[in-house]
Amino acid sequence: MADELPPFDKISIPGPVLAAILHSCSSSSGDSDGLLFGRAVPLPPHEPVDDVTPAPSPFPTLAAIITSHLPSASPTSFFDPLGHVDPNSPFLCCSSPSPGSHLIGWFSARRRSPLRPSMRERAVSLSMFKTVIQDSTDLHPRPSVFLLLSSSASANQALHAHVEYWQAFVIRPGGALEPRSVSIINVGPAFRGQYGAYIPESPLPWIPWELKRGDDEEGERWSLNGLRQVVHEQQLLDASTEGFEIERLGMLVGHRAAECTSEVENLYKKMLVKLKGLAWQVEESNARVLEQENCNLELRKKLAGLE
Amino acid sequence: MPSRPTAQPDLIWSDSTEPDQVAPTNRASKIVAHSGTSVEVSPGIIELLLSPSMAADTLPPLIAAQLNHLLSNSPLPIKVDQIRSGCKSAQYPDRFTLLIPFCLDFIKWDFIFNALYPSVAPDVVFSPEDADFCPLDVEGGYASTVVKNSLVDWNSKDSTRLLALVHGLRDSYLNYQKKRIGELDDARLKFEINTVFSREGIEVCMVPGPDRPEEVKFAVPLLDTDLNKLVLGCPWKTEQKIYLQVVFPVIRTYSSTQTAPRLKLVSSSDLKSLLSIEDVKLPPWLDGMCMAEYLPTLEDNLNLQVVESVASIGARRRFIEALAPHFGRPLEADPVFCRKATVAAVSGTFNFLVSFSFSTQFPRQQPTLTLQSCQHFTSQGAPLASSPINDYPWSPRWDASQMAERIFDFLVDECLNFKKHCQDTQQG
Repeated sequence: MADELPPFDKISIPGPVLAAILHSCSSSSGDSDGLLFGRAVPLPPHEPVDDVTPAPSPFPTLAAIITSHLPSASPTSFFDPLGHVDPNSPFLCCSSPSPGSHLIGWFSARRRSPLRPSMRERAVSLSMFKTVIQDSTDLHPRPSVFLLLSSSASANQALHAHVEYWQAFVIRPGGALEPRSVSIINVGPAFRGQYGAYIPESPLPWIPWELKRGDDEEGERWSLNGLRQVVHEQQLLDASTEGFEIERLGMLVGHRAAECTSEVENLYKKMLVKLKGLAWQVEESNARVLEQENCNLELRKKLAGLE
Repeated sequence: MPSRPTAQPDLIWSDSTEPDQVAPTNRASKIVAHSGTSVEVSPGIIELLLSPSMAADTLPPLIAAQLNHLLSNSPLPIKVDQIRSGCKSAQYPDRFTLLIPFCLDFIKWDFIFNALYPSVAPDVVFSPEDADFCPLDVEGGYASTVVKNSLVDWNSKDSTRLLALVHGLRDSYLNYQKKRIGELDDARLKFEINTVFSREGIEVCMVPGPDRPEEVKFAVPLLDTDLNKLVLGCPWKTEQKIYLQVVFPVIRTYSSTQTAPRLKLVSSSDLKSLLSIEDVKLPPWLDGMCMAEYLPTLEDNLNLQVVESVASIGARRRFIEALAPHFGRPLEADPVFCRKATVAAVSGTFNFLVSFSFSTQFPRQQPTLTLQSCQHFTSQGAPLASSPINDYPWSPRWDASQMAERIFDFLVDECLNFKKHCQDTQQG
C-alpha cells in the first residue's frame, strides 16, 4: 500500500528549523548528514478545472512539514558505502522524535559540490524509503524527503563569499528523486494559518545511552551510581525552583490576588536573576563544548594523517 | 539544462586543424603532496591551488596516492579539474572533477572524498543530464560488481581503488547508455546495436539537447592493427586509434526514406603527425545501408591510407638525406615522422636558414620552404623570415636527389630576392 502512496506535493519548513539546519551544516568541520523529523499534512483539494480531468487519486495530496533535525556524529553512520540503510542502526533506533512527528527523511550537506543528488545519496534515499517503515498512524509513514545542502564552489576563497544552497527532493517509489520547492514558514499575514498551527518543540539532543549501559551492566555499583546521579539531578532541579514553592504561588490565585502586587514583582525579579544565571551557564557550557570539538577535530586530523 | 561539455582546445579527441599542440604530458604539471607523491594536473588547477588563499593547500596523502595512481595507470587520458575542499577552513582539498573520455567526448563526474574520514568510500555526482543513472541500483540492470566490490571494502591505503572504481563506473555508464537506446522506439537503432555491438571497444551514447532533435552517437574503433607499431621509434605513450563517429537521428515513426547518419572520422591527436584524418575521403552511405555493411569498405580504404602514410615517412626521410650533398648535414630534423628539417645555406656573404615543412601527403604535396636570415633582424631582435614558399618547380615523380637538386637551383635565385627583401625591411 505504501508503494502506491503519492509523494509529497509540497515541503514546508519553519524558518528557525531551517536556520538550525543551516547552522549545524555550516559549523560542521566537514561534510555532514542526519535525520529529518516532521509530519504529513493533507493539502486542500485542487481547484476543479474545465480541461480533461484526470482520474481522482484515492489518496489526498500531502505536504511535508519538517519540524526538527538531528545531525549524525560522523558521516555514513546509518548507511553502508553502497547506501543501504541499516534500520537497526543505533542512530536510527534511538533517535526518538517528539510527539506528533516522525522520521520524514534525511539531509546531506557537502561543501563545494554540485547541488545534485550523488550516487550514494540516491541509494540512501531509496533504501530508507523501502526499509524504514514506521509504526505510525500518520498519513505518510515512510521517510521520503531528502534535503541537499551545498555551498558555492567559488574558487576565490579570499573573498570569503560563502553562499549556502539547498534543494529538497522527494523519492518516488521507482527510485527517482524529484526536486520540490521548499516554502519557509515565517511570521506574517501570509503565514497566519501555518503560524497558528506551529507547535514549538525543543527536543533534547540524543545521547547514546546504549554504550553507557554496556559498560555498567556487570557491577552493582551501577545502581548506586545511578541513585547518586538521580539525587544530584534532583538537587539541581530543586535549586532552580528555589523561591518558587507551590504554596507561595498558590497565594497569587484567588480572592487575595489583588493584594499581592509586590509579591508578584518580587517573584519576577528573582526569575530574572535566575534566567541570567541560566544564560551564563549556557554560555559557559557552549564554550566548553566548542573547546572539546576543536580538540576532537585535532585528533581526527592526526588520525586521518593530515598533520 | 546544461549541455555536455563541448570540445575544448586541448581535448585529445579534438580534430580541428590547429597549429601543432604541445603534448598533453608537457602541459601538465606536478604537484607534490604530503607524502612526496605527485599528481599531474592541468594548468588551470595550478592557478587555483596557488592562489593566495590556497597556497598552503595540498591534497592529503591518501587521496593524492589514489589520484596519482589513476592518472598514471589509466589507459584513458583522464583529466582533473577543480580540486577543492569540503572542510570548513577549506584547508584540505578532498573533492575534484574528473573529465573521463567517453564516446569521443568527455563526461564530467565529481568525486567527493572526506579528508577528515579517509576510511569512508568516495561518493560521485554525475552529470546533470544523467540524473537517472544510478549504478548502485540493482533494478537498473547496469549495476557493476566491480563498483560494488570497490565500494564495499574500500581501503583508503590501497591506491588502486579509485582506478577500479572509475573504470567500473564507466563500464556501468556504457551499459546504461546502451539500455537507454535499446528502450527507444526506433527499429533501425535497435538493429544497429544488435549487429555492431559485438565489435570490441564500441561505445554509444544519447546526445542530449533540449533545443535539438534527439540523436544517438556511436563511436566505432577502426582497424585492428596496432598503429603504434607501424612507426619506427614511435614516441606515443598511449595507444593511437582511429574512430568513426556515426550520429543517427532518432526516428520513432516508420518512414520509407531513412535519413543517412552523420559520419566523421576522429583520431587521437598524436596520430596527426602520421596521418591527417581530414584528408581521408569517406565512402558514400547508400540508401538503406547499415553500419555492418559500411564498416568493411571504410576499413579497407583506411588501411590503404595508413600504409601510404607510413610509406610517406620513408620518402621524407630519403629526401632529407638527399639534402646533405647540396646543403650539408641538416641543422635539425624530426627523426621519427620526418615532418620538419632545417638546413643552413650561404650565398656569397649572405648566411640564411632554410626550413622544410612536410605534409603527410609528401611527395604528392611539395614541402613548404621558409627562409630565415642569420644577419638581419627586426627592431625586436627577431630574425627576419620569408613568407612560406610552395610555388617552386616540383614533380612527385622525381627521385629524392633530383628533388633536392631542383630546390637548391631554385634557392640560388630566390635567396637573392630574400636578401634584397631583408635589406629593404631593415633600412625601412
